[in-house]
Amino acid sequence: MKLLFEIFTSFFRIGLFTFGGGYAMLPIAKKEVVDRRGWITNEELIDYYGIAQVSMGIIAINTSVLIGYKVNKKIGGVVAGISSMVPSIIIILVIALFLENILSFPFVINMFAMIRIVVTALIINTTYTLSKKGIKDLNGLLIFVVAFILITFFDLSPIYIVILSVVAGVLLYPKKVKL
Amino acid sequence: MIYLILILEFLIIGTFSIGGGLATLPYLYSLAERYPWFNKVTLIDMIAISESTPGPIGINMATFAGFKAGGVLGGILASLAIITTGTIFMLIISGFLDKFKGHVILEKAFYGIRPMVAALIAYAGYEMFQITILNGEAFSINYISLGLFIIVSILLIKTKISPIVLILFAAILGIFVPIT
Repeated sequence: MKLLFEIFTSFFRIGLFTFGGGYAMLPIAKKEVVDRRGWITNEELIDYYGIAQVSMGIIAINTSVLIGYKVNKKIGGVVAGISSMVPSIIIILVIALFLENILSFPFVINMFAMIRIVVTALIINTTYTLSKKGIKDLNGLLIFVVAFILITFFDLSPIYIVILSVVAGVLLYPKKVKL
Repeated sequence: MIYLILILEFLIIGTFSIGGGLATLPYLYSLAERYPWFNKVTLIDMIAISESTPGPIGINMATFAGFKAGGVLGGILASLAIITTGTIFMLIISGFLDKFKGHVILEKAFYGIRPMVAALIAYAGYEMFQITILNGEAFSINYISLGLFIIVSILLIKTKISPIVLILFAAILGIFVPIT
C-alpha cells in the first residue's frame, strides 16, 4: 500500500510539472523515478519512452504505465498511468468551469512563456545526459545522427524512425563485444 | 447515453492516435463536425489551453472535450477512455519484456532504439530552442529568454536543483517580468 502511495505521489508530480508533449516529462521523470526513487535506470527510461512513442494512446501515460509496471506489476502500471493524468483532469476541469478566458490575461501568457524557456533548458540538458547512456559506440552515434537528420530535415514520422532504428540495431549490433 | 457515446469515441481516438497528443487533433475536428458539443472555433481555444497547461496534451484535450459534452463526469470518462487501450497494450508489452528480459533480440532492438530516442529528444530540444529563444522562424534572439536559458542551464549542470523548483521559479518570474 505504501508503495502504491509512493507511485501515486511520484506520478502525480510528474503529471503536474510536465509542460508540453511527452518529451517534456522526461526531465521530471528522470529526477523522480531514476534519481529520487531509484525505481528504474536511465537506460530503462529511454527504452520505455521509445516503446511508448510507437504505441497507441498517449505517450506520457504509456511511459508512466511501463515504469509503474516495473515498480509493482500490473497494479503499479495502472496506478502510475492514472496518477499522472489526475493533475491534468483537475486543472482542465477548473479552467473549463471557471476560467475559460485564462489565456486573455497577459501575465498568464507571460508565465507560460517563462516556463517554456525553463522546459527548453531542461530538455536540452536531459538530451545530453540520456545521450551519454544511450549512445555507447560509433554505430550508436551513427544511428543518432541519421535519426536526427531524418526527423529534423525530412519530417519523417517517429513511427518510421523507430522501425528503422530497430532494423539498424539488429544490423549494427556489435558481434561478440559485450556492451 | 451521452456518456456511452463519449467513452466509445474516446476509446477509438486513444486506439488510433499514435505519436503524441497532436495526433488526436484530426479526430477532435471530426467530433466537432458530428456532435453539437463544441465547434471548430472553440476547439482552437481548447488546443491553446491544452498546450499551455501542465500534463499531456492528449489528456487535456480529452478532458476538455469530454467536459463540453457531458460536464465534469464527461471530462473524467473521456480521459479514462482515451488511455484504456494504450494502458492495456503497455501492460501486455511489459509482460513480454519481463519474459524475454536479456534476450539477444531485445538487446539488438534496444541497441538501435536508444540512440534514436536520444535523437527524438534532441529534436524536441532543437525545436523548443528555436521557438522560445529565437522567436520561431524569425531567428532573432530574445535576450531575456536567452539569459534565463543560460542561467537555468548552468544551474542544471552545476547543481542538483530540482526541475520542479525551476519551473515554479519561472512561473513566479513570469508574473512580474514581461518577456517581450
